[in-house]
Amino acid sequence: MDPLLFTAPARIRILLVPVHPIKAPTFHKHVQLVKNFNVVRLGDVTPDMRGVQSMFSSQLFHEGQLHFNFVTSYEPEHAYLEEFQMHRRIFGVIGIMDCREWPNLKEGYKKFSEIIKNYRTAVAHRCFAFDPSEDQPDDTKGLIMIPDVGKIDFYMGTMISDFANSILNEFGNLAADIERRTIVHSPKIPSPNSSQSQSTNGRYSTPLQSYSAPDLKLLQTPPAFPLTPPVQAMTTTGVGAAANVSPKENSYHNRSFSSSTLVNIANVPNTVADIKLKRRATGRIEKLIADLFLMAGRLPDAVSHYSLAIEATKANGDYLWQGSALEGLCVGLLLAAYLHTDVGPHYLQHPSSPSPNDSSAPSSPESPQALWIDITEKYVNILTLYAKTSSPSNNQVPPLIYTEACLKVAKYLACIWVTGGWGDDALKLIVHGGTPEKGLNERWGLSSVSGVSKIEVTRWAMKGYGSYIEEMSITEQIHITTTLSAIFSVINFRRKHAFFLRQTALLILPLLSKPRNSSPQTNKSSIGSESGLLTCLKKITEIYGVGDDVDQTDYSVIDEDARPLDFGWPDIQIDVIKDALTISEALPDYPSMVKYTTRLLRKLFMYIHRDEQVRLSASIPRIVGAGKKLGLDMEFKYWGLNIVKGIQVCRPTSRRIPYPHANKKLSLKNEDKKEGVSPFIYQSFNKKKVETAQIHLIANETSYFLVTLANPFAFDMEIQNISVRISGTPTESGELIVRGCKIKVHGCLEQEFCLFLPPNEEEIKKKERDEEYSKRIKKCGLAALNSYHKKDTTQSNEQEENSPTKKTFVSEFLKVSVITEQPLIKIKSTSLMHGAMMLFEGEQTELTIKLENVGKTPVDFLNLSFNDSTIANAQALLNSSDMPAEEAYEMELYAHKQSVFSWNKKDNVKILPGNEWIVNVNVFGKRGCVNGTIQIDYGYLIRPNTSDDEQFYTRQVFYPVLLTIHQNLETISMDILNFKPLNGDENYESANRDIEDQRNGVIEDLLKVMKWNNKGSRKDFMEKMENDYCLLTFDIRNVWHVGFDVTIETDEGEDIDPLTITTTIQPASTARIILPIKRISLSEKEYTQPIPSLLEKQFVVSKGPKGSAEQERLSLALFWYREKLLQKIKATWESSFTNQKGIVDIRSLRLNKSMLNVLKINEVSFGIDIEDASKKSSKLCIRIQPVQSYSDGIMEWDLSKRMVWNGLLQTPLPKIAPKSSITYTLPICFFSRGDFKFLYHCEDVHTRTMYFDTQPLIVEVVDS
Amino acid sequence: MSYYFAIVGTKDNPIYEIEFGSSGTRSASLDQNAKKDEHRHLNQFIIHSALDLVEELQWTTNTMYLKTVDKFNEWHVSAFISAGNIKFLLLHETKNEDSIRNFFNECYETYIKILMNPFYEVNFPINSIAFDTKVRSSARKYL
Repeated sequence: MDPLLFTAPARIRILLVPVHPIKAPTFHKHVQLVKNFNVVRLGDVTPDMRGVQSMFSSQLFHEGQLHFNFVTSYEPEHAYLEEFQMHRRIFGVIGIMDCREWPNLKEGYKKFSEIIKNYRTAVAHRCFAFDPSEDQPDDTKGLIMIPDVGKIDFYMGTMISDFANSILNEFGNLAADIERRTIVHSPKIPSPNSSQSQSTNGRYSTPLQSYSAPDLKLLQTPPAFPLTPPVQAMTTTGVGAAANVSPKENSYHNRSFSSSTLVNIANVPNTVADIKLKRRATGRIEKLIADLFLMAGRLPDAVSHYSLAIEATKANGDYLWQGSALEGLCVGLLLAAYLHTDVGPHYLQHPSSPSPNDSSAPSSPESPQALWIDITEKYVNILTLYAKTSSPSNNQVPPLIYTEACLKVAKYLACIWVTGGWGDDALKLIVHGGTPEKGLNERWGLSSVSGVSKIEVTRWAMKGYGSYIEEMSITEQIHITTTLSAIFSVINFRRKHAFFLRQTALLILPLLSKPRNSSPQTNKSSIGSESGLLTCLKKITEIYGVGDDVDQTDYSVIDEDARPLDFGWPDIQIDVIKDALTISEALPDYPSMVKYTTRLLRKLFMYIHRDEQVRLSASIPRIVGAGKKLGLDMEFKYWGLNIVKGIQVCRPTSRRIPYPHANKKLSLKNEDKKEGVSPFIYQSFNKKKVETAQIHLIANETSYFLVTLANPFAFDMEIQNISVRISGTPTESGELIVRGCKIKVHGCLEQEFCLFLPPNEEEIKKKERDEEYSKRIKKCGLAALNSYHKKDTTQSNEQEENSPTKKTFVSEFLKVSVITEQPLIKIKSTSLMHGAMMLFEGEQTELTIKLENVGKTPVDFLNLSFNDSTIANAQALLNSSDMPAEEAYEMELYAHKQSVFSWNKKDNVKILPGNEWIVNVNVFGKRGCVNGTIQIDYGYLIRPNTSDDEQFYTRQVFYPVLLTIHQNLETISMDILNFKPLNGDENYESANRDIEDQRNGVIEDLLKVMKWNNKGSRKDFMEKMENDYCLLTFDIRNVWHVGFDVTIETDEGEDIDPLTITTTIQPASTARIILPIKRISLSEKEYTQPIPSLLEKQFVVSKGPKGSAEQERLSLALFWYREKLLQKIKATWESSFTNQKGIVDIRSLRLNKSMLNVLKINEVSFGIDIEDASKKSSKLCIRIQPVQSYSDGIMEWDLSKRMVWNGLLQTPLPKIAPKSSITYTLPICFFSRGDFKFLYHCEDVHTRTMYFDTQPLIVEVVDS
Repeated sequence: MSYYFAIVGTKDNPIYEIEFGSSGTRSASLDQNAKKDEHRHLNQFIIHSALDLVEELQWTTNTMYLKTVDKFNEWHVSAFISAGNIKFLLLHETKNEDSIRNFFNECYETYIKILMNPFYEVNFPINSIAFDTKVRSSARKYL
């Protein structure tokens, strides 16, 4: 029972001792049984034989109660106070015997009799023998058998009542003894400094040491009565505690109270002091008697005696005793209030009337509200009285008394506070003690309702904790600190609670470490307290913000980085944990040592010096080793912070990356289109796919993960094993969840570290908002701690509202999709050496690639796409410069239509695993190409049990090709000429000959031309050639050092056979090519079309300078006629030495205006008749200019003397309807002979287009 | 005469700590350095436990200066609570309300200046040297 209970003075201390041998649990069971009867109503007490005459008869005050304080331990060190405060002494001893352990009950009783000899002050004793067997005779005198049958409660009640009666009887004797005394001494503190008791010094350092020796010394005057309190009998549960006492020493057992002991204590006789003491004796005796009345439950008598005592002591200035009497009075009044009995107003007013200090409170017991205030005020008075005794000469108050008074008030107020105010609840709590129900006061909100403020409680409590505490013995200090922490716990001052709890723990610490291994006895007793101490540590650390909740944080999950502690005072936390560590080391409790070491490191490593960290971490294996030696299970989890900072899937090598395609049919169709450039310059909806967004893993293939680990500590961490933790289906398609890593850190168990995806931006923002919000809330200190305790039902609504919103964020693990097995292809070999090729411009050749399926699944889809170095360049040029449309067309053609690589797609590809497949790729020697890439996409599409709509994946293989393109032939200087007929048929042969003679190179071609299509008569042919054909000439130069055979082919289509000319061009020589080309007629509609773009490109208005309408028309016509012309001609080359062949680039040829005039079939043709070939009617104006030409080429323009004509040389013609002709007649008469030429042309009146005839009209005038 | 001054944040976390004057003599036998260290730790514990009272008292008064809130042996703990629930606590041996009030007020002003710094966040430790010197000078002035 708590010695600092407010009503302690009213309790009769009864010691329960085990009569060994008895098993500890049995003993405790019976102790509990006995403790049920700690309150006995006076009316129930067995009436005394002497009846009312007895001084402490139970029959006078029936409402009264006897309060027994059943203890199982006894503190002999307060023996010096037993005379001053009677309740401290042991009045009765009850032996508890287990009949099963004692076959012979008589012997057992003998043993008990020996035990009770140790307790000299005990006035009554009983021995209860529990659970007797049938055959055990109930004949031992003084032994009470308590069978385990029937109404034990009733039986026990009777026994206790009987016991109470005998105690009350003895009280009478005691009182009589006291009344006979002449001198009553004040308690003298057995001071360690006093010279007379040097040997007692040891007592303070080791309170467990034997107490008997110093007391024996003190007891000098009457040696017949050696005062020997039990040795080391503080805990009767200790097995041999009672047995240790030698019976010899305790043979002088005196049951009756002896005043001599008090005299002995103050063994310095002083005459002056004696007189003073004698004078004071009356008051002191009154007080002691009152104490007995109080214990006997006779409240009215107690109160009246106290009042007398107060008066008497006051008169003598005996402050200590006055204070003590006042304390007693308070207890009496309180108990009276508890019993709702009236102790009589006069008793109360009695003490208050003579004392001006007391009168300040006009108190009446009827108003309980006033009573507690009155009691508090009385205690203020008591403390001042005690304080007055501070001078050492004047019966100095023992600090214990002072402290206890303070603490009693504090506790008493705390009880009132916790029950929500003065009332029966509070009284019950005060009288009976025990732990109040926590949070009883909470419903009242702030503490003002109870009338007691926490501040007041604290003030009283702190008063009791002065520096003089250090002078006390350790057990006393421990008592005080535990009581203080209990008080603060009651009023919910958790920091103070923790503070004193820590003080307690620190006080216990030396007790633990010193006697370790010295005696088995102490060792055993400490085991019992170990768990309590550990719980204590748990509580302390919790309040300082480093409690066990901290450990509960699951570090296997990465949530947040180690932030600086969000709660608490790091310095203090370090201290507290270090204390905890020292204490658990002293116990020694290895698991908790590990616990606290790791906690210190984990939570506070930021504040701990490097060396310290290293030391702590090094100590862990040592502790574990020590623990293992003792056979403890010291395997523990990894304790540190999460060292896994990140985990990600490694991007596979490019040839292993699977590329998803939405749908089989759709995507295959789109495959070709992909090559094209999007027609729009900017597309808002078409976002570029981020390549790294999705990484797929492939079933049955090795995947790699990148794990980032971090060590926040200052020491090395040895990682022994690491493995990635996954859940899901890595062997088939589906989702793979990467949970984290399983890591074995040296010395710890293998532990899983989970890793969540980092929260998205929204979450982070929300979190920041929350943090900002919580910063703005005024939160009181430990309220932050409350948020840890989610289970606390007393949480405010606000917090509850908050919690679900916080939980909305569910962390997710990294998810990786796994796709079905994919084939894997490698390029086994190619026809190239070192992947390089050398080509001539325009050369066409073939490249073979041998693929091998090295995977486990067949390939049924193969697609090749190509890229070469020219495309990008040309594209860049196209985009950047503003070139004319025809140039741009040329460039586009070059970039996109002439591909370096091409292949003929084959269907029914099937490459089974391990098989090979050959792909042929056509290569074209494109000017300016340096390198190219062949990309092979492949996949396994038509799998069993898959639908067409499903996504499928392809993989890619790249084959880079280095290309060197040499220019071998170039075409230059093109011209188009009219087919000029030679003069007459007879000249034909000679002309042939001439040509043969003159131009050797061209002769063969020309001859060929002559022979070509020569089906009709020569004249027809000539006529046809003249009208429908023109001659195309151009040079081909061989710039290479090998000769090439060049074949040029013109294909006029229709029914005319194509003309093919082959020549060999020697190195560094030029060959002129002459080709008859059928003149081309294009309708106006055709040749005025805008120049197309090969790419589906958005139309952009040309920024270049715009020519006039005629110029535009011309350039368009040039473009279209050239296109038409180039269509007709095909030029190829071949090298007989190397078997290379290719095409000659003729697109470098450019047309100009004069060539165009020759090439195109005019819309207006001349002749004898003038015809119009145009489809629309046109209004023309004709101009005719006759000239005389001489053979030397000089022309005579002024012909007015040579000829005359009737009409106009320049005149508009009437309108010509389509497909019709008109005739303009100009009669001429020549005056002289010679050759005359008539030059003529027509001009369209509207469009200003000129039409020329191919040949001028030549008239040869001969003399007639 | 020795003083221990601490500013404690809303989460029981120290924002600023300082000791002035000679440290109190308690047990002369101990090594000077170790004693000082132990003493400082005890001070922290005392201040920490006084927070309970500050939290209780702050609702009972309108003033920021809470006077002496706690007593530990011969030590007094005076408290001052800022509008933002930041507690200023001073551990001292003798009662001298007025000068302590002045000291607190001046410290509060200095603290407000720190608080106005956009790079300073509530509850963060104060490392400013200027703050330190100012607090020291006000301590010299008033204590």
